[in-house]
Amino acid sequence: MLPYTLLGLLASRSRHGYDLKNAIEQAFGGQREINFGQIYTTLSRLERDSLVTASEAEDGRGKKTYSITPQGQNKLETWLDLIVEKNETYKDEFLVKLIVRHMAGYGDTLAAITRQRQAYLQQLRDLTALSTQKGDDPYVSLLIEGAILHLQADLHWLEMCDERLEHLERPI
Amino acid sequence: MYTTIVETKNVCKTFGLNGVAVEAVRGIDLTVNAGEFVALVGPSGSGKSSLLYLVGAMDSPTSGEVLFEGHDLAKLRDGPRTDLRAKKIGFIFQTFNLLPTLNAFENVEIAMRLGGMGRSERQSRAAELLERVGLSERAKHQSRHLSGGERQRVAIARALGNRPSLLLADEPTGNLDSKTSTGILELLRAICSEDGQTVIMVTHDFRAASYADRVMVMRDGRIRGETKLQAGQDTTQAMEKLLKLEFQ
Repeated sequence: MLPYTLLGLLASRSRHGYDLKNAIEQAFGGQREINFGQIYTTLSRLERDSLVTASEAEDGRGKKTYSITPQGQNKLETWLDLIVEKNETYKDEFLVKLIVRHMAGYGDTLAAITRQRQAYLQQLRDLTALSTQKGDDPYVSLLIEGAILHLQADLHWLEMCDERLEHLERPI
Repeated sequence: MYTTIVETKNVCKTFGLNGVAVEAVRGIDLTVNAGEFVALVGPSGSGKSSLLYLVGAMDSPTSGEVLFEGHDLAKLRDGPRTDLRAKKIGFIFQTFNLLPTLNAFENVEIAMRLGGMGRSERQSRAAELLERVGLSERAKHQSRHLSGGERQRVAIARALGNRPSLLLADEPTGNLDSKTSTGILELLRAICSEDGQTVIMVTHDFRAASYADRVMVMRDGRIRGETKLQAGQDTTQAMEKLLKLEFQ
């Protein structure tokens, strides 16, 4: 997603490489350091594909200014409008483990569910603590809330697993 | 000073509804020690509220024992039982249940008055408790002019008036939006971890449950599993994981 992030930043105005680095770090929670290598490699590719142009500075000090091209703008807008497909399937590895456990005749489904639930609840606790700290940053707080909602859903689903599989006695 | 506040031994509660027996609580062994924050989580009908009411001496079991600070509740006569409920157990509800014609201060004070506390002591304690729950400036406001979150804070202050051994909370955030709920849950955890208050909370919300030290998951009148939680210490790791953006 770095190419599109760079195109997005250039769509608002032309920028230097350093400016791009700062803007990304600021937008995405200030926690993740992007290195210049990645940015310049991506910018070269974007230039090669005619989505971005680079011009030398007037003072000749070698600081390039990057600008988006009309093709770049078009590519960006197409990507922004595409519906996001959830790329993971709905398959859950834990469910597979439960079924396999049953096939193997190991039983003790409840203990397995309890352990999984422990992990989810602890993550929920950690994220809730994080949420209090990061409330001001819109991107980070939305990311945290999303993760919390997913965990709540996973926990409810574990309850369902417990309920439906409780009475499965004989191995498949 | 008791270390075990509540202990239930194979406690059962069956209700008769239209001639049908409903087993709300089916043989539960639960021990809660001083200073713990326990959450009972489960869907409606799991028996969690019924269990809370048994532990809070608001109801009597069909069979099995409920011991409060070592005393079998079944052996208590009405007088001592009422006394126990007034002085040793604090209760907060989803619907706050404040007296609407009284202001915040008076709501907190009245519980202590019923518990037999003298006037000057209860007044200074009411002020102290309202400060503790962050509502000093709203002390003279009528409870009907308070927001949901504020009412619940008053309810908590009220419940703590007589220095109860146990604070019970039945869906305390059920009627609150998520931001207000967070405030209430943080307050409950603070009074537990900072003031040593023992808390048992019933909730259907896992997020609320995650504020507790021990989470008991209930279904069909039984405890299906118990989880012990650590304080949210590893936030850097959680943060790293969350922000692991894969830039291609």
